[in-house]
Amino acid sequence: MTRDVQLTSCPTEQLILFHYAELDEGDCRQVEQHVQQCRACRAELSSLREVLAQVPTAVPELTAGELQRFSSRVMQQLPRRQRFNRPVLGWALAGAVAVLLALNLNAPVETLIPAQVSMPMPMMAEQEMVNQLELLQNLDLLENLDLLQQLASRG
Amino acid sequence: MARSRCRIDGQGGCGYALWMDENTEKILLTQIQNGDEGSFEALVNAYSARLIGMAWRMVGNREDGEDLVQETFLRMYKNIAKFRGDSSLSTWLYRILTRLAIDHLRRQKLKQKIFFLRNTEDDLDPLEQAADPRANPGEIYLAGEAGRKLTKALGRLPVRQQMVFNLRHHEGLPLKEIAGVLELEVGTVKAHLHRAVHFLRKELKDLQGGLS
Repeated sequence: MTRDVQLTSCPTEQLILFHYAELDEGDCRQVEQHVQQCRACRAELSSLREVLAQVPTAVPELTAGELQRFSSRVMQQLPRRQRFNRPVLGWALAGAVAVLLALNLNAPVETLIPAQVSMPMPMMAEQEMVNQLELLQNLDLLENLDLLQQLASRG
Repeated sequence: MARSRCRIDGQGGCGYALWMDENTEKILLTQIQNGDEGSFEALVNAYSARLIGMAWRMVGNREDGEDLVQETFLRMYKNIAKFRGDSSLSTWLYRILTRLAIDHLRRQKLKQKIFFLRNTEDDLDPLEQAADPRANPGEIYLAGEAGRKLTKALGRLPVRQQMVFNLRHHEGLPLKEIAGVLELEVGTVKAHLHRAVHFLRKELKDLQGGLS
């Protein structure tokens, strides 16, 4: 809304807002017209701008590499529990279990029944023990397979 | 409604603009809320440079500025589910960052005061001896003695006046936006800006009076 009252002087606060383009349209036009006619206010505005122009504004820009490093830094700090996709993890574990089972099923059955196996050398006996241990470990995994499949199906 | 308000007016507060359009921001926000890390990384890439520059000016050195911006992004990520969209994402980021910067500056001032009080009169003035990150020519471009004095003077302002001045003068945020970021009335923001500018004028006048 245009105001008919002519400004006789501009308070410095008004000039600051004018400088920063924070006045509404009507006030802005009024100040602009007044400043054009009033030497004192023109000088005051000029003095304000001179001060503000001397405030250093620039900071060195970051390079693309620096920004990339910063971004990586932020991503690495993200909470861990939100970084993994459960269905993927569940299927990965289930797959690993299946592979281990397949490997052990291919092993000779005789290794489970020591009496039926000829043990020509001590090394064979050690190998049998290792095979038995692996099977025991796989039995643990087998027990958890149901749980893993449940996790995978939940998604 | 598009909110890109590039106010390159050549006088004060030049260059303010939203960093991305409202629709893109909304899409990213939804994806981040659904757990999409790629979208979060895109947001970090889009806003880092601006926020680091802003934090750098607020606290006076790059290292602290980057730490504050990192913390800003992490807080945003942790609280993204609670974000209701009452303000834009950029305003929210500004708000988090300014709060962190205000806390940081207050802690710094307190440390200086404590250091000053715990030392005897024979000790050297810590304000003269302490490294002033604002005066490091390797990090901040200074326009001569006046520029350096004004930068130091800014550091002596009350924290809220500093924030208002930085956000208006350097970042070009409209006063209404600053009020939203700092959760103040617009009238209070205007008062802070006036006091900051008056103070800087007085400092420069004193300097010019001292040199003549």
